[in-house]
Amino acid sequence: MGAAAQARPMTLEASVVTEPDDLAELFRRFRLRAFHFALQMLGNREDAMDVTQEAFLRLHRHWHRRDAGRPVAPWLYAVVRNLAIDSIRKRAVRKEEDAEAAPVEDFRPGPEILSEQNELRAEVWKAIGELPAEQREIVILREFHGLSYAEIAEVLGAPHTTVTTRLHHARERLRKRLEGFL
Amino acid sequence: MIAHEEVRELLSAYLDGELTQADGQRVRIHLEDCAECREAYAQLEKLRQVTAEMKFAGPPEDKMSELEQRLTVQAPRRIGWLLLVAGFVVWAGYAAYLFVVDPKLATFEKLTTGAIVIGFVLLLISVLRQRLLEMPHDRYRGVKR
Repeated sequence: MGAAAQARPMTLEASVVTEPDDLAELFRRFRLRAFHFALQMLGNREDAMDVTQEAFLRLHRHWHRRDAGRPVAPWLYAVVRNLAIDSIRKRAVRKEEDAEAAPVEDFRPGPEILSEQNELRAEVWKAIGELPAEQREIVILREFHGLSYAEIAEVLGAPHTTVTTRLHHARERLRKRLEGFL
Repeated sequence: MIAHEEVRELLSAYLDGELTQADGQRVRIHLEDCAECREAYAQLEKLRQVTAEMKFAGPPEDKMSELEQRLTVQAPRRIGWLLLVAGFVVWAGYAAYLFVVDPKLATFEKLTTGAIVIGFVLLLISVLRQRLLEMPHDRYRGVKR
């Protein structure tokens, strides 16, 4: 039972020991993470690539204005998140214009973005997709990207307590929803 | 003694190692006595294990390489432009100075040539200014015409 040894917080700093010197290095280290975050938010490779591209180009334009004393990764995550939300909004507008399309609330990233599927993983991903958007993004940042609560709070521009509470509620939902699988 | 419900709310942060040492200790003690919380915690651990094993589709590599090109090529290109423009301005200024102080040229020649050059520069600036102002509103920007 793992209760005896409480897990140490897994953070971005732990996985990225030194700060990238320039954008090229940031790109090399974070291109896959940025793409996967966008993909997990959007559920579509093409849209995810567009968001990744725009995020890095935006960082490139504003690189000289960054605060050198602060870690750059949460900035990148925040930009990807904002662009992904914009992309979802644009998609919602397009769907509203199309009377045949499903309502916007039905948007859920499907299991096709998982490269190796099995029943349990597909079910867990489906359950994550069913979470409210503000809980889903926190679960994604925590579980798939290893951000600490402080880092997630920075990405979201939300208080630390909000992150703690939302993650607790999200996990309770997932636990109950997946009771027969876990 | 910490309340059962309170522990349930702390389990998620306990799993992530985000509790203070005192709270972590209290949760640990409660878990030893409470089978229901132990089960809930085991489910959270299992959930974490499953998410850790998930792998997602990769990016379209051709587009990713294209993006890398854009990011690595743009910086030297900007420096190149800067050097080119700076060099040209210095060179043009020096040429203008030599032209003005040249004793072999008559004042009439200097004035007419100066008018042509200034007129050309003003026209160039006005065209460039117009293009720059129109740029954000050009809906066909980036579209091959």
